[in-house]
Amino acid sequence: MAKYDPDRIAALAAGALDPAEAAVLEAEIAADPRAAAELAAQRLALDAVRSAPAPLLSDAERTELRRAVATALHLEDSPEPAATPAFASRRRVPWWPLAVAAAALTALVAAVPLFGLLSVGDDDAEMTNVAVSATTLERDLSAAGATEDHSAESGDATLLGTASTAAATTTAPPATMQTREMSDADKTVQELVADPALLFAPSADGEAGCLDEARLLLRDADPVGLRLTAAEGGRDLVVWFLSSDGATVADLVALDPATCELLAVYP
Amino acid sequence: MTPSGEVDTALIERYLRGDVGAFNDLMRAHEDRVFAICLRMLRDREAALDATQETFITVFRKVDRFAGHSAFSTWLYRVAVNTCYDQARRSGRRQVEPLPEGVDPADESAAVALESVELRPDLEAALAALPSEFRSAVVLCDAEGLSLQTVSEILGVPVGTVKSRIFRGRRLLAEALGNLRPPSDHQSDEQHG
Repeated sequence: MAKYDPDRIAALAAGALDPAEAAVLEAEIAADPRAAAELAAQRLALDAVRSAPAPLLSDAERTELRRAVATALHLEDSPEPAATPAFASRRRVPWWPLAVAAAALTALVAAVPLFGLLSVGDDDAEMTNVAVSATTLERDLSAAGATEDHSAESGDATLLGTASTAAATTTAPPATMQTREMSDADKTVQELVADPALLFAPSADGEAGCLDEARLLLRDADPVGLRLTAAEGGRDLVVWFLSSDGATVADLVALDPATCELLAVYP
Repeated sequence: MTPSGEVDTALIERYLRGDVGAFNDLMRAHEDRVFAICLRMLRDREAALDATQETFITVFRKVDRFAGHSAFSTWLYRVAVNTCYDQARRSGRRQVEPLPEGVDPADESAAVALESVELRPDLEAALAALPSEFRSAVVLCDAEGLSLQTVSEILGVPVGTVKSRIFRGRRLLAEALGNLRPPSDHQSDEQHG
């Protein structure tokens, strides 16, 4: 047993080794009863933990939690009543109507001023800049402050920044170009959300692309997506969204179809 | 920064501007996972709810100083784990698996029943029996599926220490689940810590 690195046995149990290495190590371990028992134990524990259902808050607990936190934070507006997590109860919107929506939207984009919302002009780089505007916040926060607060509780001091004035900094607009472009992207999304019929209209096909990114962003394994095709000179857009009722948009992300970069998000 | 990290950062920015909707979005994005971590750490549902609430209050009060050196979720989970540690310390008592009803430990005939309890505890009881350092590593990595690097950042220990804690935690867990005899010669202490 001693000749086997426990870390490698743990990694083998977790499936973290490449297949060739895993096969060799497993064959070696099979000849060593103690190592084999150790591997079996690792797998048993891992399987038990992984197969256990994740604990979830009940609706009442969720509502009470948000209310209590909001009260403690003196938020002026009361938080929205908590519903069951969207990904657990959301009714799925069938794909086929959305596929038709993509085709309908393509024609619409060419015919109405929506084109102006989808396009950011001739410079493709402008739209790309939108995706990094959120990252700008990180730099703003890091650069803004002066004194570090060492009174952080719960051992989180190493992850806290040094910006005691960061809140004020974040209220200031980011770089001018990025602010304008994010606003354009948000406006596009707001237009789509305000008129969700465009998203829910019957459609003919629905291969939107960037599904993995959308799943990650929306934290949902089965979002609904469509690709908005801009008129000549414009820029296509991939939109993925979630709906709880098949008529309104709960969450939506707009992505660059070429790079899958996040361009805008709702809400 | 990952796309979800960018979303969190954008939501934080909106929250700092006074957007209550961003507060709701951040809560919705993370409340279940924070609660799951707390429940698996503390086992008791009420205690886990208290810890979850305390975690979010702490994080939102300090979020203006979040610098983004690590993902927001990493920071959040770190606060959650430390809150659980604090709460467990405050409670000052260790959760124990109760004996089956009507069983007298002094009764020799109870041996089989006792053994069945000992060998087939439920997973939560088995997790609760782990030392807290092992439990947190197993919960974060194996139950929540976080990477070793992320768990390392959350726990504030080297990756090697996380690996060691997970290895030993799983072994103890398997023993508690009754499917592995305790090795006669336990391996030495953490090898990377």
